[in-house]
Amino acid sequence: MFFPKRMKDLTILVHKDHTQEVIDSLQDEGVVEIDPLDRDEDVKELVDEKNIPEVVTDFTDYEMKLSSVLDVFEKVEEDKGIGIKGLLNPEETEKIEREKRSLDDIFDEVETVLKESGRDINELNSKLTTVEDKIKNFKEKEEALKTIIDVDIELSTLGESNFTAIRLGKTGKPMELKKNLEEIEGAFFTKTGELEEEAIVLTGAYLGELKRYESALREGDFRPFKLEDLKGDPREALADVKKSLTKLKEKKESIVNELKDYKKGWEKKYLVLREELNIYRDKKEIVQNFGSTDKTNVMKAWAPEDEVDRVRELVSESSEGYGEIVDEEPADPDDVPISLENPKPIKPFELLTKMFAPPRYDEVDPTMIVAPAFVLFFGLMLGDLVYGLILAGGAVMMIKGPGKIEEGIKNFGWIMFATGLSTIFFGLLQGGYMGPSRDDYQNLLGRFGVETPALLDTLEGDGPLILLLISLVIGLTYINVGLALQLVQHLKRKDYKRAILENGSWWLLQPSGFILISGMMFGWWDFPQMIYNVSYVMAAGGLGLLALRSKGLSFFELTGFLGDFLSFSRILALGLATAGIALTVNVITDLIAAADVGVMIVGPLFAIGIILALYGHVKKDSKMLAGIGGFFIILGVMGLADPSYPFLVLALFVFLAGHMINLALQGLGSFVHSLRLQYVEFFGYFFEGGGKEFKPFKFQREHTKLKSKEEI
Amino acid sequence: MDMRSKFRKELLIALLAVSLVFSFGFIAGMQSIEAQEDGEIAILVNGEDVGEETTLSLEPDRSVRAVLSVDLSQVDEEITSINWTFEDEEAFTKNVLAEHEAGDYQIELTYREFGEYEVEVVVETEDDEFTDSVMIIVEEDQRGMFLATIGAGLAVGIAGMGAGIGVGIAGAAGAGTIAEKPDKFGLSLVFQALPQTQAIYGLLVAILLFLFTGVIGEPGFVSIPVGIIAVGIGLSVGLAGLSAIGQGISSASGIATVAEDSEMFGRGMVFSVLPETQAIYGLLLSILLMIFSGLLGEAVAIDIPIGLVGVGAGLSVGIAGLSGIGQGIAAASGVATVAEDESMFGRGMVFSVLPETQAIYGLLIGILLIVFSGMMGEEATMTMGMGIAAVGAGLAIGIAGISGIGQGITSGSAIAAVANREETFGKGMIFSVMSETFAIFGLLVAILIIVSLGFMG
Repeated sequence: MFFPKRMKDLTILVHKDHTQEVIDSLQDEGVVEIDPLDRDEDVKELVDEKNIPEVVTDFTDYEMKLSSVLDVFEKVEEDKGIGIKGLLNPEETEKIEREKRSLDDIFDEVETVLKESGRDINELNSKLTTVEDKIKNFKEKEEALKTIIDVDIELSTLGESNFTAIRLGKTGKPMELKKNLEEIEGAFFTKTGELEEEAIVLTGAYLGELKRYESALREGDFRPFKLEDLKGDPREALADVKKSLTKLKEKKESIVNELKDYKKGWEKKYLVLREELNIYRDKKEIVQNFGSTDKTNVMKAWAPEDEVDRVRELVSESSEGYGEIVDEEPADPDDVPISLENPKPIKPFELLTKMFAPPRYDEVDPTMIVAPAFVLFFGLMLGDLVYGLILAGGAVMMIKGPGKIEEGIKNFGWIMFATGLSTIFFGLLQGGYMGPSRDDYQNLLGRFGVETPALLDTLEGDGPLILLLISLVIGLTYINVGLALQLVQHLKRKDYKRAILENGSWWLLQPSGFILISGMMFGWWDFPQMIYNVSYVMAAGGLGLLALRSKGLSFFELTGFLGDFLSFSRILALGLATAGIALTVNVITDLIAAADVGVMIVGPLFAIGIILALYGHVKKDSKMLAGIGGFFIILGVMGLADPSYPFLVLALFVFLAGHMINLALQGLGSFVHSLRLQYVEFFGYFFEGGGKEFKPFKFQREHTKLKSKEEI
Repeated sequence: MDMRSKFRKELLIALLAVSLVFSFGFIAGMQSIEAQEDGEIAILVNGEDVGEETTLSLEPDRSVRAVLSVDLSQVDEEITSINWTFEDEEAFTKNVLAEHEAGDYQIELTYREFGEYEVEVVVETEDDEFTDSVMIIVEEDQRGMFLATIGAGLAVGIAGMGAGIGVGIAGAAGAGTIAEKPDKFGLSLVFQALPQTQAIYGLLVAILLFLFTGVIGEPGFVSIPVGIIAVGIGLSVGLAGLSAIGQGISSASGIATVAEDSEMFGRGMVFSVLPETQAIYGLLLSILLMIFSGLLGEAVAIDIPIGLVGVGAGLSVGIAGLSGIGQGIAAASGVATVAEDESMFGRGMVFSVLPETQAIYGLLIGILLIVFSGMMGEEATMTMGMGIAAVGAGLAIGIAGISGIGQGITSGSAIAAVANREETFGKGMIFSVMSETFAIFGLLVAILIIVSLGFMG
């Protein structure tokens, strides 16, 4: 709980003939991490040779073939319209039950499947590609033709004939091109039109001069239209092209539909087979980590302490007695992989710790403390009941929706839920319900006439000062928790010298500093002289220890500590900012709602509405613009009834939008600053991190699940 | 037209204006004399014949006293009765100071709300009746309000400038990123939002100043010294908002990093947010000043020297907030380094927060100024000289705090060095900490000012 899971260093020995079964069962159970043998010098000496995985070429071959078909399926994926619904409620992938089979069996099945469907699918795919290329080609022609739709020219004359080359294109430097071409005997240049400030020109030359012709074209910035194989004038040709395009598109659709049918019937099978192949590949590759003697395979592994017995059982069962494990305490904490263990409600917060760095094996796992502290700071900073409800609600949707398939999102959702609850609690305390409680510029409940008393109002009377005091007290406490953890760490490492120098200095300086500064310097209270004397001694002692430890940098240690302490004042600052900005939104809302321009407002509203609606509908064919226009017209109608209605609507809009923006901005800020307080002002005292994570030998099955032993 | 006739025209206009002024003044003067015609009575307010109306300002304790009496010197006959009538009996408390056999002669009225109140007295003799009335206008002391609006302008203006530049720097990085990787638009936008908060703090303080001084809503007590503090409030959050420039630099680095490796989002954010500390200190001090000046909470009476202390405190935290630019430079380097080497996260942060000490010094001096000036409610005599000295102290540590920019440049480089060679950590720290010595000089001078000018009792 306060430390990463205790691990044991395992050496597993299996007879060569039974190794495969052991690998199988270890992979299925997934509780050990298998490392390269080299990490243990003693064992390395004992083995004769390193194992090399068998290179099974069929593997890659089959895998590629399966993958290429799956890629085709992906191409014809139906647009399921990933809307909000899809995002919130994703389908879980169905897991097909499979029996354990040998690699050869799998290979056979892959061959069958490929024969039955793979060939056909690939054929369809190449047809599809061809059609798509043609469509692209024709689309280019279509575009080019559209630009010269009015030019009077017979298109079949373009290109190269027996004696001439004729090109139609556009240029930005018509004069220069003309000059260049005039120097070539027999070449001609005609401007036939204009397109976006460039000239459309028809040029040609004798084939004999082709080289000079082409270089003249290049220098003249001539870009030809791609119009080969067309007949008639541009208008006719365009009609032809359009007809061809339609036919091609129909053809494409029919191919795609065929592929979709295949997909429906076969996709799952391909996915399952590919997964089974990958499982086998992992099994083949793990062998790289083994060493072997004449008859035995040797592997080095890590397992959590409480799983060692299980592993022993597995090995001996699957090897039918021809396997054994030796477990030892890890020799060097730097080698041990890290697996954190925390109670279920705390576990999602491991994300926050790991984001900084996974703890080292002999270091404290701070997650147990970070979790409640983070939630506390966040709530104080965001402190608004309605915001908290929205957060918590969103979190629930996240957990029940995308969180079902992705663990990362689920964990984040739990964190968000906890912070949401905290925000609700402190919102109640601070009287924040989309704004602080006031008689004017009211918050959400206030507008409905509900009184919202606050125990600790962030913007009234003594509230801010009290909250500042609370923030600083929290800060001082938290820093000392950090110091305590530092002490724990020093003691664990038996580093008594540092314990005295570091913890000793701060724990002497803090009380003595407090007494001296608040009593003598600020004069806030009167202490008896005896206490001052003791404080002097303590302070001197503390400073002495500090100087011993940091020498020249001692002064900066003091300012650093002061800085860490003052940094917690941001809890108040952010809490105030949330309430203040919410208040600002309410102020602006009221100002708008009270606006009274009289019936005059109706005119402009109608005007804007009609202009937008017409513009959107006619010119730009934009439903959104037309919709907004309609909205303004409705406002205008409301204005006829009472000139203040449109302003009320606008005020409502501002109210909602403003608070949503405040929630987003302050929510982000509270998250990041609460986190920063952990990383900079807390971790700095005791946490280094840098452990590597525990990666068990396991295959995360997505499309298959193993038939359990009882059923076989 | 030619110069001559132009001059004549202007002369005419000037003469016209002068005569208008004179006539108004004459008429006004006549008004005041009017009251005192022979045989008539007059109401005296605080011993003076004020004519038709008089204006009184509410004191910080939300009350004002007026002693009313009747000047009966012009009345020869025997007085049979004196009758006072007051408008709006609820608005004041009456205390009779002296009585005449015919009625109340001298009364003290204590008003507690602003408004206009008419007072009339009717004095009867055997044959005659005399009356006089006076309009007592009770108002808030709002002479400092225009200063408060300057404070609000400084708050939102300077902070907005900082945020604008910072967001611009980040936005440029964002635009560059989406040219290569259009799908990173959302993430880039989130980073770009980070430097915006400084402007929001500025807006917040401006609106709060408006609310508390009565620019919006009900009038509040804003004497001139309170107005001066409001300028300090504006300077505090406004200047500190320039830290957004630093935040823009670090956010830009964050965007570039996330474009390559979206796993860096969390850590990139944490680095990018480091320069916001300065702005938070600025906001914090603004709030503290609002509390102790009586703008937030109960009104207090303060004098101009204390107002200047507010300005000094504001400058102290505000200008030191520019160290945020240094923090941003260091943090930018930190983000980039951690992207290459994950294990540098902790150490990168240690270096990145080094320039924050300048801001802490600024906050410290600001708080010391507030505490020792007696702003926190204790009786302390402050002379004008001490007030100006406070501004000096604020400038000393504030401007010295800009050394944080230098420190940030060094720290940023040191982070890269440590990533390359672990052993350079200690030496890198020493390099980085050098710039801080000058901030310490500033701190020393500021403390000396506070101590030697008798601030500390």
